[in-house]
Amino acid sequence: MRQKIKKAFPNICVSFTLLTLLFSISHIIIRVREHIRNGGGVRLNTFSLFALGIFCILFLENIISILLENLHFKHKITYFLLELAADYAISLGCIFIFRWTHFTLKKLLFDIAIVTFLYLNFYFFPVQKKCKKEAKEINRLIQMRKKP
Amino acid sequence: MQVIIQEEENRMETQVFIYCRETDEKIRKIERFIKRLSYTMHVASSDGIYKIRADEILYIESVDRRTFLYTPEKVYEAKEPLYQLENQLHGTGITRVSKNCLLNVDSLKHISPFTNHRFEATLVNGEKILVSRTYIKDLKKKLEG
Repeated sequence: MRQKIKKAFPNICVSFTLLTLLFSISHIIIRVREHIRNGGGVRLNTFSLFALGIFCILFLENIISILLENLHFKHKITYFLLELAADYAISLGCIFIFRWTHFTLKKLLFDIAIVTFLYLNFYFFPVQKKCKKEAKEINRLIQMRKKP
Repeated sequence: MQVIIQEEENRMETQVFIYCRETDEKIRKIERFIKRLSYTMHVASSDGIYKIRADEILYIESVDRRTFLYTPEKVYEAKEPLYQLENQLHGTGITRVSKNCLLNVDSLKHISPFTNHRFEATLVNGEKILVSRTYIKDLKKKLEG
């Protein structure tokens, strides 16, 4: 059952993402067309903007992650700070572009705290934990191989 | 298991015979190990062309489209590109660990987590190389094999 869920879950996620993207993009195209034909303001669905914004954040953050992988860092903290700053800049850009919120100093500070908290607890620490576990397993295999 | 080593003065090449009731996993493991030890390749160095065994290699790296082989004593250059060497050395203890590096798993001392899902492998000579997350599964398979 667990294996089946493991296989099915990514498929469901990819299908859901593609359908949401398709819906959001087609919705924006239809609304812009209506605007061109009839005039008046472009009234966009909040969900479409939200879905596109989330997609942009994830897409750009993955690109940053791939780019950072090609750089060599002497200390983990440099990598951590650089990735956090890049992720925050991307999130901020998307918040601004997709008009999720208005900018005030208080909100910016609040957002920094939220992004840092989410980044640390839902990405950095879980990934570190998983890597440590994997390294432990590999080291065990190395020791096993060395045994006569 | 009984191990018999017979020395013959006139013998040109070392031969290994395994006498068994049936070929099980243990025997296959011995076969793989012997094949790993006996695989040789021709490589160039600043002072000539050498024949080296695959198990002597610590790691192989591709830099500016040139392929370098690192052993504890010397650095050699191979004519073949990295992907070709990867295919040739398939049966040995050498596996790909990043886009530009092949590693001999027998030269691994230990591994530790590095940034961005990657790992830092420390070799027996103290050198450190990065292992990409893409190749972790292959490395595990090679270590298990």
